[in-house]
This record gives sequence, structure tokens and C-alpha cells, in this order.
Amino acid sequence: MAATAQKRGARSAPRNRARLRRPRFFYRHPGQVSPYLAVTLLMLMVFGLIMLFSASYVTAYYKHDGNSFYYIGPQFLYALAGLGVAWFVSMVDYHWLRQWTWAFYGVTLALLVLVLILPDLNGYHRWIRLPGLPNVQPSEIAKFAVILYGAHLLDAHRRRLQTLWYGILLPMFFLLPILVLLKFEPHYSAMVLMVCILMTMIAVGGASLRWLFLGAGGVGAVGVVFFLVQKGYVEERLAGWLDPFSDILNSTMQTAQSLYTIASGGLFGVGIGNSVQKNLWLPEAQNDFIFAVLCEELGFVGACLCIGLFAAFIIQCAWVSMHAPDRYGALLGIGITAQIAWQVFLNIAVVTNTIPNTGISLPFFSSGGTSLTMLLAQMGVLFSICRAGNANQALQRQLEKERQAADRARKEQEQKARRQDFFGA
Amino acid sequence: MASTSRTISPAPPKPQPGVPRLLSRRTAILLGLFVVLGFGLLVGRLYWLQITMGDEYQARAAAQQTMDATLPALRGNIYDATGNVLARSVTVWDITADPTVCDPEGIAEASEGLAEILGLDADEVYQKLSDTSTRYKVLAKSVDKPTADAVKAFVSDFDKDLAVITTQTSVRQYPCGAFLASVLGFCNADGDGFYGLEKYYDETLAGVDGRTVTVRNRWGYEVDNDQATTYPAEDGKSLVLTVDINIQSILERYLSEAIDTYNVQERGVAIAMDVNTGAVLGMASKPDFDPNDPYNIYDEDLAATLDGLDGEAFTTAQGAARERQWKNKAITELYEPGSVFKLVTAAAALDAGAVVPVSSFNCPGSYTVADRTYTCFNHKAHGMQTVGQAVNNSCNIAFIQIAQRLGSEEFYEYYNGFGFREKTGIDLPGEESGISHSLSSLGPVQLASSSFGQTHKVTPIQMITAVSAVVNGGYLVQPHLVSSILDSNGNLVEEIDPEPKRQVVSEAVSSQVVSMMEGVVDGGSGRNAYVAGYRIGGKSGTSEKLDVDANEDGSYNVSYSFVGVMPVDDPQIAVLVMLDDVRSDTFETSGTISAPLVGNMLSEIGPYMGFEKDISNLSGTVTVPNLVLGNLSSEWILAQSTLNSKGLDHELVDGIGQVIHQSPAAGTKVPLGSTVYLYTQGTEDTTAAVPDVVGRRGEFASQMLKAAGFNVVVSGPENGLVTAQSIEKDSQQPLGTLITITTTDSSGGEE
Repeated sequence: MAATAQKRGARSAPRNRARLRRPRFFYRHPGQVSPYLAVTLLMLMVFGLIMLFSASYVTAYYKHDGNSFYYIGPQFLYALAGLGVAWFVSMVDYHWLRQWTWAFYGVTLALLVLVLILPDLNGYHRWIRLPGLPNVQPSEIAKFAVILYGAHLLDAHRRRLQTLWYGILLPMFFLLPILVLLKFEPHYSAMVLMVCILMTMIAVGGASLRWLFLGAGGVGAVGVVFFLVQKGYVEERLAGWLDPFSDILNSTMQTAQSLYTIASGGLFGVGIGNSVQKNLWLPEAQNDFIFAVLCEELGFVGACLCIGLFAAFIIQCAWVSMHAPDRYGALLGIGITAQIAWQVFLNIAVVTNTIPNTGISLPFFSSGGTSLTMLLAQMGVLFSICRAGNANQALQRQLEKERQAADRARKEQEQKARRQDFFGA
Repeated sequence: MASTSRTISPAPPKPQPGVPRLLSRRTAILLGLFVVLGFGLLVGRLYWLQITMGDEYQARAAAQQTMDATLPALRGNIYDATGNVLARSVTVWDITADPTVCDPEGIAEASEGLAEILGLDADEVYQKLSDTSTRYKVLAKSVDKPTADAVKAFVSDFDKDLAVITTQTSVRQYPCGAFLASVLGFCNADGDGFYGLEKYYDETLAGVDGRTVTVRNRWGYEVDNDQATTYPAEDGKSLVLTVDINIQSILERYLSEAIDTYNVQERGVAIAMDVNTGAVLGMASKPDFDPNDPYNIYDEDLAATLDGLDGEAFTTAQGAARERQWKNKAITELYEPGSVFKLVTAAAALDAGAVVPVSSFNCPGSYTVADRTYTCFNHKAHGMQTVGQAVNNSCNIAFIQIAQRLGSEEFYEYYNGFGFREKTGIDLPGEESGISHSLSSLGPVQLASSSFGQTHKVTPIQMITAVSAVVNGGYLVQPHLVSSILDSNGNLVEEIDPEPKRQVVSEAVSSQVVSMMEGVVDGGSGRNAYVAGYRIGGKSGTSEKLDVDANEDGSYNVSYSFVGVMPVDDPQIAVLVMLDDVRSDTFETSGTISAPLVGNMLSEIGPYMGFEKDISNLSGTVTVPNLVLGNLSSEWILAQSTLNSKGLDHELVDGIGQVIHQSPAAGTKVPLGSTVYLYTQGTEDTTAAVPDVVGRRGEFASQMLKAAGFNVVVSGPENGLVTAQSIEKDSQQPLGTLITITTTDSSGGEE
């Protein structure tokens, strides 16, 4: 079944690919990166690093031999390296990536299989831990694989998106193996996130609204069935969601402590660095629950500012996507934007117990090398789209100018001719 | 699509088509929905959590974060009158764990490390650390500082989560063990006074605990910040008792020995009191316990009985057994005072003017009041007696007549006056106030019985307080145990010197009764309390426990008491002993039971108190009496009384019992004040090495020899230089051997 589908996808792809020019690696004439987007990103990163240090040093001190810099140190280096990567990637024509779509997808599947074979950590097969190398989380890579193939498929079959198969089922079909592998890790939050990203891309891609709602309903139904199979686990999660203080010493501890932490901030917070809850009360303060520490230290006002900053960032990312030079770039950009947007939303929703607890990190804030590097590399792709878009706009403006100049020249010529006709007569 | 394919041509660049409108529109709509609805939801949620619910959740968070640590105030000490520590608090550390925040993977290793430091079983520690059902598990209690420090170091060096903390606390120690126990009492597990002085003076001793409110992390460690608030502890104050451990140990030793000798079933009490101030110099109450471990049952028979019980029967019996040993029998338990009470009747009648000392009363051997016929002990007819002779003879019939002359109303008034219907107010918890007749129920029979101390019940402390009033000039003093309170630095905070409550009888009456009491000891029924050289007054008491069912032979269990007062010319101290339920086969009068007991106590207390012996009427040389008689008088306590009355000291070499050997031998002429060594277990002399005293001054030489266990005759000037000793130095000689030292009147008197 999977093989046939792949063949059908592959059969239709070459026709499109054949029309593509051979993509270059670097832009010949790179456009400008939006300075507003760049500054917003830098603000988020600086904000994130400051919060990470504040939120993590206690945990680092107590759990890692008194090394308060255990989390922030590597994160800072990853951030610097990631910015370099982003800058480099931004110079690369994003069309160049397109030819590696299926290779990247294959490597991702391989990594997801590999991580299942490798020994677990606390019962979770989420990290590839090779001695001497940073830990790699294949699910982070998988997100980008999904974005890549999604953009590719939704662009390649642009004319047939109104059909159920090309509009929805085909992109979802390639997600299945990834979801299955993630299920075995298990990493439900990554599954949820990938479905959200892909659904967003499908929605904006141009699927017919009829199939879109039907598809959303279908995904929802599959989700419900899936969770019903996992009854005990989900029931516990749901009970914990409805009453986060029901089992405060065990299953609902994270949520309850998160709520305590957030509430402790009040309107203006206790001041940066002054969180009390980060003193081991709040689990994963340096990771999934870093936003709670932010809420405690900076209060409602600071939390709103942070959300506002993310909103500004996401809007600019979307703006960049919408001004991509072509449809593929737009879809790629929207995929990346959707990933960040959904992660922000789901993370804060979990931290505030708006939705049941599941482990999703907050982009640019949570500790994690793979995540940050991948994020910044993806930002590089977005910057690349931004460059291409700006270059395209600049070209259009220039052409427009030339056309207007030509018009003016032609009009002047005509006037001149009329005058000559008139006076010359 | 067509336009894209055209861009393949290298130059000039053609603009790209841009984004289709559908895609742009959907993106814009989704983005709008996402930002407005999604982020709006989150902001609303945050508002709810931080502003609306803020205070409530914040309070809950604060409750878990703040550690309201008690800074325990060190409990004050209790000192005896001479400054010895009777109770003290020592700072120790408790080791506790919060198993819920210990890393399960580290528990096994941690258990071994902790077990080694704490001297525990590693498996046991492992069990405790694995029990995640609780957040508070005690690993060890009351460890010393080095151990606590070692635990701290181990925990901070441990590389996995290990929530083990040390808490400073204190334990109560009683260095003297089972000594003065029922007076001192003890503290419960929380460190609060639970019995005795510890309870009565709990607030004074406890001090005020301080507090530090600090912010802590989940593992219980303090978070470094400037929010810690400290209210320092105010250490408890210390008590200085009126009790003197030397007097107390005399009382306890003799009381314990008497209980063994006379087979006392119920209890024994001995109180020594300063008759002029009410200061209690000693208060012994048996059976007792070791306050260091008060819950243990110290009566072996009772403990054995308990071992055979279980369930509720065990709990009840255990409670009763503990109560029995914890109770201070001197203040909480009642007895019928018997003939000792005649002192009160006599003083009352004299003070009321109902009788004068020379008033005479006839004792025909029996006497009928209403429908009851009274007799004296052994149905003896005492004939005509003065009041003094009636006291001396302990004549019930004379005292019935004295009381009749006094009348029930006056009797009742004096009874109240002497404090028998009220608590003495001694500074101990649980005091009883006695059982007595009301005026309306004090009919002729009750009056008759009451006159010699039957049909009403008092506590020993009430009795000795009344006797003190009788002998001290008539003042009812306030018995008390604490003379002063010191702060934690040893500064005097309060001196306790209560005023007498009232004058009950006149000083003249008081001295008349005291001289009657002297008659009792001086050849009367209390002659076994006599100590040569001292003027001692006393009165014995025997009371049948009529309220307890009679034995099979129709007799009633008997309690014996005796009160002794000295010195008679200016009474200073009174000693009361009471032995309840004596089951001795051989001894059945207070004259041979309680009188010699008090006499022996006074023979040691007198010299300790520094009362001068008047030896002007005594011969300087005494013939050692024969104490190995094989009859009642050979019982150690009577043998000692005999020696007391001769002006000789005594020492029991090998415990209580019948004297079967003595040294020096009977008939030996020894100086007054020599010590006779008594053997009850074996006839072989214990020997000691004779010290070399040649060249020393006579007095010092005498002390050396006496301390070594020998008796001394000085030949020559009392404090001259010793030129010779009759027995060679370093030779082993039996204890008590008489050694003559020869002294010369040397010129170097002031060496």
C-alpha cells in the first residue's frame, strides 16, 4: 500500500520536477533580510537565554554537581552557532533544498528507527546519545522533514489540491510512518505538533474547504480512537487536567507546580531571577515549564509582553512567507512559521493547564541543543525566503521603474512627436 | 507554471509570480484567528491564573516553599542546692528524609552510606528511603554533632537526588539516674514537662522557641535570599532546688533498704524538711524509676506480670504499672497518719487551753465512746498520765479524752488550721488534699478516732508540714522544692522564699510539744531513733488500713510512720518516713520499723547539716556492744540504732540483713565516734592497708586512718606530731581495727 502510494506520488512528481531549473546553491543576488524580523528574532533569543539562565541555574546547581551553567553554557554556544548556521542557510537558495526532500525524509525515518533500537532513557527512546557528540532528538529533525515534503507536495500538485487525495490524503499519508515511529518512542507531543503543522500547511495550501473540514474531522476521529486505545494513560492525563491538584505529589505535580509558579507572579512578577518555584519545586523549569518561571518573575505584564513578542515574530514570519517569490517558498515559510506558532501556543497552553499536559518546548527559551539548532536552521530557511522575496520585490520594483521610465520616455517621445507635428506643421 | 519554466533562461532576471491570492488569504485568515483566538485564550488564561486566582495559588505556593523552622530553646537545667546537675538538656540532631524526592536509582547506594554513618542496618534505611507514601521519614534520632555533620557532608557530596536533612533538637538527660525521680519527673517525647518539677515548671524551664522563616527548595534546603526572618530562641531558665543531693541520697538509700528489710508492699516515703522555711531538703518516694527511661517498668515482678499479658489487659496493666512508679507518693497518695497525728491533737488542745501539760488522764485499758470501745496497743492499761506521758506512751485512750476536752468544733478548726483540708501548695503537680470529716460528720466516735489519726487521710507532705508547724513555733510553712530560678546565663532571676501561711499554735505550746517529742526518743517508744549526742524529738505512728479488706487471719495491713525533729532546743529539720503495707514476719511495731529508720537517717543528716553533738554527758570511751545476737536486734537497722545510741558510727560492709560479724569485736573499748563495721553476709573481715601517718599532725593522721577504714586512739596531745603508730604501715588489717597513734607536743604547732 505504502509502496503503491509512493509510486503514484513519484509518478506525478517528475513531470513537475522536469520543468524546474537546476537549482543553484547560493543566491547570485541575495535580497535583504528583513531587519525587523532579524531584530525580533535576536530579541527573542536574548530574552530566551536570560530566562533560561534564570530558570535553570538552581536545577543545574543541585542536579549537576553545583554547575550553575550546566544548561545555559551549551545553550549559549548553540545559540551562537545556530545564528551562524541561520546566516549561512539564509544565503542558500531554498529551492536547492527541494531536491533533497525525499532524501531528508528517508534519513529522518532511519533516525527514528535508530532511536528505537538504541537504549532508552527513563523509558523513552527520544534521544540519540553518542559519546562525545551532542544528544540528537530525531523528532526535531522530523518536523522539518514534514515541512519540506509538505511544501513540496502541496506545490507539486497545486492544480489537484481540490481533490481529497492530493489535497489532504497524500500529504497525510507520508506522515503516517513518522507518527507510528514516534508512537513507539513514545513522543505524543511531537505527533500532535506534526499533525498541527501539516494541517496548517494543507489548509493554506488550497485544499477544498469541504475536504478540509472533513479531513480535520477525520484526524480528530483518528486522534480520539488512538487515545481511547491508550485509555489508562489518557484518562490519567485528562483527570489531571480537570483537577490539577488531585495528585499533587505524583501525576499532577508538574501542572500543579506550574500553576503555583504562574500565580506567584501576580501582575508585575517577583523580579527577574527571584523565582522561588524554580528552586526544584517546578519540575523541568529549564525546559517545558520555563514559561511558568517567566510568569513568576515578570508577572502578567511580562508574560503578555513575551506573548506579544512571539505574536510579532510569528506575524512577521507569516508576512515573509506571504511575500515569498513563489508558492513553494510560501508553503515552506508557512510550515516553519506554523511550527513555531504551534509550539508557542501548545507550550503556553500546557503550562497554564489550558490543555492536558504534554511535553512541548518553548522555542528560543527551552533548553535543548537539537531543538535550538534546528529552529535557527529553519529560521535560516525563512531568511532565505525573505531574501528571495525581497530580491523579487526589488526586481519587480526595478522593472516597474524601468517600465514607468520607458512609459515616460515613450510619452515624452509621443509629446515631442506631437509638438513637432504641431509646430513643425 | 508557464512563467516558471521561462525563468530557466539565465538573464535577464524576470520577476517571480509571487504567492497566489488564495494562499495569501488563507494564511492571513489563519494567522488572524491564531493570534486573536489562540494568544487571546492564553492571555485570558494567564489573567485568570495570575490576577483572579493569584492570591489563592500564591498562598499555596508559599505554604510549600516557606520553612517555618523552629529554633528550639534549650530547656533549663535543674540543680540541687549544692549546684549538682540533676537534669540537663543536650543538643542533638535528628536525621529525616523525604523519600518522595529521592532518586530511586540512588537509594541503594545512599542507604549503605547513611547506614554506615548512622550505625544502622542498610536494608532498614533502604526500606525507609523507598517508602514514597510519606514525605517525612525518621532515619535516626538524637545523634551527636559529628554524626550529623557527616550525614550533611555525605548528602551534599551525593550525586543523585537525596532529600535527607538534619534537624537540631535536644534531649533531656538526668545524670543521677533513678534519683529524686518522682520529684524531678520527666519530659514526654515532645520535650514538654510531663511529670514532677518538669511539668510544674514547664514554662520556666522550656523557654521560648525561636523561629526562622526561610524559603526552601523541594529538597528542604534553604534558598539563599534575604527574606529569611529570624526570631531568636529564648533559652529556658534553670531551677535551683532546696533539695540537697547528700540528704536526698541518705533518704533514698535508707528508704530502699528499709523497703527490702521490712518487705514493704505498697510504697515508701521519706521527706526531710526545713521546719522553719518549708524548704524540702529531700523527698524520696518508692517505687520509682529512671527518668532517662521512664516508660520502662522497674518493678521486676510487675514487669514479669506484664510480659504475660497482651491486648487491652496489657495496656491497662502497663498504664497502671507506670503510674505506680511515676507517682510522687509523698504528695499524691493518702494514708491514715496514726499516732503521729497525736502531736497535732496535743498541740491543738494545749493551744486552745483545753489541757495543760500537767493535765492528767487515766487509761484503764479500754474506753467506750458511744457504741465503740477503744483500746491501746496490746490492750495495755497506762494508768494516770500527763499529756507528755500520753505522747510518750502513745496512749489512744488519753488522746480520746484530750480531744473530748477540746471539742469537735475546736478540733475541726485546728485540723483546718494545720492545713489538712487544703493542698500544701508545694510546687509539684498532682497534689492531693486528703480525706477528712466535715464538721457535721465529726461525731463523738469520729472525733475519738481522729484524735489518734484514724478515720481521716492525709498526704505525707501535709503531715510533715503540720509537724513542722507544731515544732517551729506554730507557723504553718509553705513546703517548696525550688529555692531560686536562674536565667540561661546563670543570673538570679527569682528567689523563692515563701512566707509562712499562718500561725496555728503559740510558740510556747510549740516548745511544750517539742519537749514531749524528745521524751518519745529519749527512752520512750521512739528510742530507736536516738542518736547519742543529739537531742532528737519524734513520734511514731502505726495505722491499720481499715479501708482495705482484712487479711485471712482478720488482721489489717499496717503502715508505719515516724517523724523525727532535731535539734530539740532549736528545731531545724524534720524527717518523716512512711512505709505502707509492711509485711514483715518479724517486725511489727513502729518502734522497731520506722523509728530506727529515722534515727539512722538523722545520724547521718545531723553531722552533714553541721549540728553540734553535745558529748559533755557522754563517756569518751565506749565499749563496743555485741551486735551478733541472732535475734531481732541483730537486724542491721536495729544494730545501727544501738550504735547510734552509744555514740558509735557504723558502716554496713556487705549490704543489709542480720549482722553476723562485727569489727571491732564486742567488748572492745574504743573512743566515742569510732566506726563499727557490720557484716551481714560473711564472717570474714574485709581488710585494708594501713597508711603511714608517722610525722603527720594528729588530727590529720586520724582522718587518714578513718578514711582508710580504721579506728584511732590518740595517745598524747590531740594534734601533736605523730611519732608512732601501733600497727605497722602498709600491713593489711581488718576494717575497724583500733590503731593507737602516739603524739608528742611539738613546738612546730603552726607548721
